[in-house]
Amino acid sequence: MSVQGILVGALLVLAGVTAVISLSGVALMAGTANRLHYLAPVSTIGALAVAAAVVVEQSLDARGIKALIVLAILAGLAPVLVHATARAARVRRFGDWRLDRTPSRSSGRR
Amino acid sequence: MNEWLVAAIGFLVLLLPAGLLAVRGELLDRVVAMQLASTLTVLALVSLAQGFDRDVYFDLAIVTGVLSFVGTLFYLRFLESWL
Repeated sequence: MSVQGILVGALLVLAGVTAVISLSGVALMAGTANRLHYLAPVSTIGALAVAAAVVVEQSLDARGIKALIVLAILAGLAPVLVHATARAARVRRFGDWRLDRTPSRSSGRR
Repeated sequence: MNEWLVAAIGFLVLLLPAGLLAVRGELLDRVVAMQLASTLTVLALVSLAQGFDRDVYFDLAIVTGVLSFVGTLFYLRFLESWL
């Protein structure tokens, strides 16, 4: 097996391990806020490992660039979703996402 | 079967417990499980695209990633205000 093949295999194993860690955290942690933290490993390290494995095997051709686009989507948009989820949890619990819950005239939105 | 297909099978196997978590528990915990499942789906699609040596499947992974993001944001907005 070539060095390239070993590197690809190692990166895919890394992606699989991070996916298992994320799944374990989401399954075992108590509470939404704690579970949210465990979305990060698979969407950053896992996606990076898979994209890096594609680039190692294909170099920066069309597939490599598309794999990097997938990495950008997963790693770039996951924090937005985590923030939106935490905000939704807070709104459902307290009625507003702000620390100071006095009504503001400047913002009609919750 | 190459290493990419093995990785894709691994991601798809992990999708089962994530799907199970998405149908049990509190509402927002289900959303978290759904986000994890969509990430695993995208990674599985990338692995399948490389494993089957098909460029087009990468587009499917990109579209899935973007649409799951938008869909989850809409869903969370509804959860905040109306559901």
